[in-house]
Amino acid sequence: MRTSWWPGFLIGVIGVQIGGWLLASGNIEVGQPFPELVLPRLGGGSPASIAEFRGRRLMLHVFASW
Amino acid sequence: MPGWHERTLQFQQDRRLQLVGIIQEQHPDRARLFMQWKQMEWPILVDSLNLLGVSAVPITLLIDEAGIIRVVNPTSEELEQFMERPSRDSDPRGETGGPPDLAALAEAAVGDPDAALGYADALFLWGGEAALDSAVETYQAVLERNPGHAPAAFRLGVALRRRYDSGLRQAEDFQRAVQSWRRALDLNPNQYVWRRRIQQYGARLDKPYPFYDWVHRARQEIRGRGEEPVSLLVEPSGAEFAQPADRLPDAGAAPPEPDPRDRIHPDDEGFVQLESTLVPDRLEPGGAARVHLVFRPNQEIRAHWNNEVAGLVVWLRPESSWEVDSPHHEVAGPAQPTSLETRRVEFEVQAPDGFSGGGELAGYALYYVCEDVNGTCLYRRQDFSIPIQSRPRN
Repeated sequence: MRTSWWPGFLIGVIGVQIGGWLLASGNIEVGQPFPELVLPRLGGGSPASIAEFRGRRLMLHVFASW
Repeated sequence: MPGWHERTLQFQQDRRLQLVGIIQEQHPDRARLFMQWKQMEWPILVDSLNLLGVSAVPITLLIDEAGIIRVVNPTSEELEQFMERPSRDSDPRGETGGPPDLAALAEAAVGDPDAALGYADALFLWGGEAALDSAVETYQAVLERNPGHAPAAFRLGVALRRRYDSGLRQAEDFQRAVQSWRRALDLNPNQYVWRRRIQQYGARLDKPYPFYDWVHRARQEIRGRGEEPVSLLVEPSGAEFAQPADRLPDAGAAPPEPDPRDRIHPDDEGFVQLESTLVPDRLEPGGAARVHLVFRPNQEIRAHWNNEVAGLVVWLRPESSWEVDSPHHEVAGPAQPTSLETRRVEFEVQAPDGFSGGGELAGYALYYVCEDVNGTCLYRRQDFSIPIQSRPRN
């Protein structure tokens, strides 16, 4: 959430780091299905997974409010 | 992320694109306030345990109709291209069902470390507050069998801090959470989501940004729209608002020491219970830590604050080579004559460049307190000494 405050070079470093992790982990990878994870919904309700949103294009943000 | 929300509004309204979030926070309800503030109403899933395993945030993914990841951290052009792609056939939507069967997971966990970790996760996620003790014990059991299991160490810290914030709090839960996060980070120093968990509660010298300084403005703006902000289960503490700094701030001239000759009687009756937490739990030479002091009136003797004279004062007596942001800290009581609230003092301490082995930070607290058993009201002093262990520079 605070990337806009970061110096540009730091964004680049983190970006490379994220990309490296993504390629290295095999967990989140372009061309692969999103991992099956069942998680609580913010605000309560039944458990949810990203698979529930299949059928329409999805933009998924993995983030923190800080 | 709010920028993406704005840029994709038309796609969302046309039902061509759905937005979903997964948050990586210890206190998920703060993301709920954030979403209310930014007027973003899409579904959010909560991953406080970092089960997804991402090592930094934010990450944006474009996922097609069949659930296949197509772009990571897209540009605006890549979003346009993604939206212009021909539609794909998709499998039916997955049915998530209800929470897992905890009893079955417990049975499977016997003698199987991987299943035990899954069981601990399920206890934390689906067992509610009543299962926090079992979650903590199960993570500990996993770590006893495999001390190098970094995710288990991180998740143990999450569960301990969650218990600290609950009605089931045990002594030193917060300090043990910090120790567990640091242990995880020592095993995997490139995990920035884990590192942020310590920095969130830590010293300004080690902060990349103020974590929750937006909360006050968010509430003002939400109220300005005529809405009531969602309430938070745990209000952000001073550390979570503090601005980053490259040195301990100059607090200006402190008032005179309140009890330099140790004349105020000690709190031998135990009217007030003090818990201290050091974040991080060990200091590098020249490193800084945030100290969290929590004062609670002792309910066993029905003690309470007496607010008719003055609030609680903390005075620090660091050794000459150590620095503190200020030797003097004060917490005012509420307007009523007596009260029972928990009082918190936070300050920062910096070790000398040559720090090795161990040290301690001494100080004392002064407070007006009463107890209901004998109806006694007194002015008392509580001395404390916070042990600080060193760690080598990374």
